[in-house]
Amino acid sequence: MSYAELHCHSYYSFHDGASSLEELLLRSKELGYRALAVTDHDNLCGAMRFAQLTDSLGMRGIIGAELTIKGGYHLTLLAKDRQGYGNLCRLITAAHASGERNEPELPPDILPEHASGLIALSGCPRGELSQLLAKARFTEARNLIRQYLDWFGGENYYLELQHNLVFGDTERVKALLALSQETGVKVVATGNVHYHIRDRHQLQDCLVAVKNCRSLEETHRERRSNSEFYLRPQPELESLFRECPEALQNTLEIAERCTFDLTRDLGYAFPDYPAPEGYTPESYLKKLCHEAAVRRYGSVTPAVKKRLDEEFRLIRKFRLAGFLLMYHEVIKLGREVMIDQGLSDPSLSLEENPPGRGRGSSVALLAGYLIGLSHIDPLQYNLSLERFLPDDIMTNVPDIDLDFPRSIREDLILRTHQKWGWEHAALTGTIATYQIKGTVRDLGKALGLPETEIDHLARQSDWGSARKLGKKMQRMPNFKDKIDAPVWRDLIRLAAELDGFPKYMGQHPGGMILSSSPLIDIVPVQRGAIEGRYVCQWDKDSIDDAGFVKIDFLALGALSQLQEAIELIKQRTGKRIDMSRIDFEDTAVYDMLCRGDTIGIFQVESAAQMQTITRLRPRNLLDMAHEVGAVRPGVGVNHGVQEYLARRTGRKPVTYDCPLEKRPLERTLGVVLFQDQVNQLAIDVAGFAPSEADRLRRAFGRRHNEELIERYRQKFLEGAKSRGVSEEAAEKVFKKFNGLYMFPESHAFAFGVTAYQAAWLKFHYPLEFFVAIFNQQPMGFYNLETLKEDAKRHGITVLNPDINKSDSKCTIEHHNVIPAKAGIQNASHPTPLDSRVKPENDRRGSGEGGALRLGLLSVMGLGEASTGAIEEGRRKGDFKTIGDFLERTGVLEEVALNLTGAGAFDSIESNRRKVKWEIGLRYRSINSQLPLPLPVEQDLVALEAPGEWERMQEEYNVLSLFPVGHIMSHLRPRFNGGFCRSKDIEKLGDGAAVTTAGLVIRRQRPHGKVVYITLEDEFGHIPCMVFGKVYERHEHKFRSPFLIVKGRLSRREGTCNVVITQVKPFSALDKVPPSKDFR
Amino acid sequence: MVEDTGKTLRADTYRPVNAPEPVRVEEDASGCPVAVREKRRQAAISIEDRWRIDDEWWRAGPVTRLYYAVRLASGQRLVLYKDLNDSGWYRQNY
Repeated sequence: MSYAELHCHSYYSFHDGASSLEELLLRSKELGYRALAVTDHDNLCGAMRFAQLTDSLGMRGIIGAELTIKGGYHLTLLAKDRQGYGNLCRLITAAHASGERNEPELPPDILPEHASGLIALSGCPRGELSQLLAKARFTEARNLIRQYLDWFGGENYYLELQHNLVFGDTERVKALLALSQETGVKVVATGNVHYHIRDRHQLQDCLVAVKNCRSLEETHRERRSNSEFYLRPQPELESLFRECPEALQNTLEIAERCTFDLTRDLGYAFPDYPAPEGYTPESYLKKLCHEAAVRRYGSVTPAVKKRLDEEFRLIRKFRLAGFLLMYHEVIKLGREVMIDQGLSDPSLSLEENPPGRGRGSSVALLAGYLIGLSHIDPLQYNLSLERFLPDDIMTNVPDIDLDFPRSIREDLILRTHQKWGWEHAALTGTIATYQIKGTVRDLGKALGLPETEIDHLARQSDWGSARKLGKKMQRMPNFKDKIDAPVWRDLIRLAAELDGFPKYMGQHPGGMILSSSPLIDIVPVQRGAIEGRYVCQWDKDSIDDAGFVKIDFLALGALSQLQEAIELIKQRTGKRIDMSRIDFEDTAVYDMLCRGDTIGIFQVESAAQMQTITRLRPRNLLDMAHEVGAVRPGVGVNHGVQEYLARRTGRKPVTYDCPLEKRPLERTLGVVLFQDQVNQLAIDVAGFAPSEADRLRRAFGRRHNEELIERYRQKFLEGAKSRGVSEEAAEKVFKKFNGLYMFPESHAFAFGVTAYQAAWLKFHYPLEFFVAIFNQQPMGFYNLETLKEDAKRHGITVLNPDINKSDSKCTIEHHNVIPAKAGIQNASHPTPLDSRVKPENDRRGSGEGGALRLGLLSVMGLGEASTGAIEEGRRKGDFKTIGDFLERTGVLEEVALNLTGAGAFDSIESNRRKVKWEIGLRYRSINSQLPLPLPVEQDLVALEAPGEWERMQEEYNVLSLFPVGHIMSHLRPRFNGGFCRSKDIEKLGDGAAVTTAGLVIRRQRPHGKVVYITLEDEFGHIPCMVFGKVYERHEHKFRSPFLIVKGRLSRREGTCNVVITQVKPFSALDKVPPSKDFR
Repeated sequence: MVEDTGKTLRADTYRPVNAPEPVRVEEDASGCPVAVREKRRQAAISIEDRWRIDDEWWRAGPVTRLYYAVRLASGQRLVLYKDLNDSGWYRQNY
């Protein structure tokens, strides 16, 4: 006899299911099950993935869910057909709408109107029918059965028999069988599966404890009483149900009737676009393109016409006109927001001042450029349509991500909801998954391990997969002896199992899906955490698989920065720069990039990027795309970057593992740099269909995927063989695939352009560049202290905030300042010589004589309310005294003290200790009684002014930077004998022994064996690298903010690193600007 | 009501309630009990119920038991369990 499991929870039953979809499917297949239904609690988060997997693994899959009915009862529903699936989505949506957020509860009276196409099973022991039987309320039980028969029909309602060897199961099954005989309702056996193999019950126990925020000891009642909730072999099931074999037989009957295939039958259609009267979507799109072409090029030139004709052939073939016009609508909405926020001039055309930038394959469309989707003219950069939108792989909707400045994104999301309605426009879901830190904390608590030790272990475990917990503990002196200790060894074992498990469903920061037909017919939608937001239960991978039109409203800090810089330039020069028309071949800008002077420049500022750009040496936008794309985990893991650089510089020849690799890889010298190349390799080398190639690529990124990958490998080898590729060559090609992230080529291109534009601004308008980047924090790879040092290197003086001169945000001051030497001057008081505004054609001039005045929001503890009060108080004139300031602004004492520490009162009184004393005397809380106007002058005493070290410490504390200097200049006397400074290292040759010291500003561990650490001293940066094993042995030392390192200098192909062999931390300040740490 | 025995209560006179007691059981090939030997051998004519407990696996002494409610030839109903850790059989009131 065969069997179909119709009640099974995957790990998408958050904190209840303890196995992945892959594990469940593969085990079901091993056991010879005919089909598997996944019925997660009140959600279909995993449904699309499940459908894709069943297709790949050749297993029948049934979509279903276990719904929570009002009263907390459970009901199992399975979708027979498309209508049933739609009804299931609506019921889940209704359950989430009715209950509290995250506690869905469906009012049962909704069931009848959404019963078509569904098969209902009476549920587990928590089902209403089982609960009534347990209380011997037999009459009500019979009535309930009649009601469900009425709603679903006799053929679509079954009594669910579950026997998991729990005390009481036998009695319940007998009672249900008796009812079945009495009512004629059929019975069906289900396993109430929560994990794929018995041993996994331990993880499931832990998940229940985690869900209840208690330990295993404390959740005895909540946990299942045994380990029988696994996928059982058929003989066991036959033994359990030997009194009623029809219950097993009926599983097959139901499985046969559930024929809905989510990968095939969803029937999602692109949203319609209601074109104006007299137009079709295509003709209207053409009209818009032609009008924009005239504005852009003066006329529809032959080149433009030829390209548009080519594109419209594709647009017509794949019916994309409505899709592109819909994006155009979104861009127009974005424009409205920008105008409302005063960020755009209404007289400018959309393409002159686009609110956002598109990226993705559609960036190659001239039509996209003309209607404001993309910022790249494909004609100017010779972006062939075939490369970005090849006809033969256009199976999915070409995706467009739209990056917007942060300031407009929130408003834009709300307007999109309003314009299309929440039933047609919902945010994308995102599934948070367990990483090592969360795993340690949750499992540690569940296992009852000592809280302080778990906390310590979690803090030390900030990188990596939870599978490596044992190895990490091995390297920690406080934990290495616990590896084999009871309970701790359970933690290590269970952490490996829990790694990557879904933790909860949240809202994607900016992804939104749009649909003409109601979304809730396609995917359940539930309320988001923020009022007024609605989130669908699919993440972006599932949405991509479904072919939805998805718009990503991504808030890119870099765009906000560019936007602000352009506004500042306009204020100074009176001219708005069109960033799409700058010189993209400016040699001086490329020279700056090739020197590695990339701090603050989008996409190319990381340590790894800096190491690469000095070797890759980009000279055009295509090079920039390669630079941006090369430094990705998916490229580095196969040493792709080194190989590409070696081939590019001619040190190695360009070779291929087989001739069929040439088309996909020729443009990147035979090396895989982009995600699309992986797809193309699968198509060209092994004959995969485009959609299958995409699934292969994505399968690598899934967890618990070993068996799935092996199947794909076999298929790849067979396909390659049929195309005349040797097995050895095919294996080599297959090894190039991995699950780590790579950019699509079009993304890399779009980002490469943005990176160049940022570099151009930094070179030609450094003052505006740095003011904007300060105002847009947090963003990027560097803290304010490092940005300040880089600004100084570019001739910008950074001035402390000042109560009379600062706005809330950072501003430009046009004083000719003497650049402050490290640790000496107070930068609030530049020596005013004359006010110079550089003429607009002095492109390099804005750095000289220009200063960046820190805004009031830079000071710790100040928010919009405080800064608003100060600006309001200043309307009546500058503040003259401390008392005057306190009285006119009414700020809190702590705010005033922090402003003092930041030097904001230095223009009134330079002795900060005296200022604090006076604040203490004069401050009156606004909530207290009316103060007596008593004089305080008699209590003002002469106090010694704080010294440099004290001022520096306090400025680091309240500003996170020290505008006039660098801490290392104060510490330099400690490091004079035998220590190299950053400027000394520049003069040393390859292999020279180096001992140096500095503040750690960055740690980066791209996927690979090397950790990059950057130290900073008062003269510049000291790039260091340390091999993984050395790092791991001394990880706790490397975490210190101040380090002395010893090693040898390595110079290769333009790069320069100190290869660290010894490290010693030293202490200096209680609080320092934190380093930025990245994988 | 529990009768007052008049005895002095002492800590060492406490004993656990319903503690399992070892018992000799004959099993069939599938591990199900077919006879119980206490004072005399009694055949188990039917297994009325079966359930399993897995708990405290994180402790030194995990609980892994397979329970059987058996009807003996004498008509007596007995609850036995097999401890899957030591393969021993015990009887316990349930």
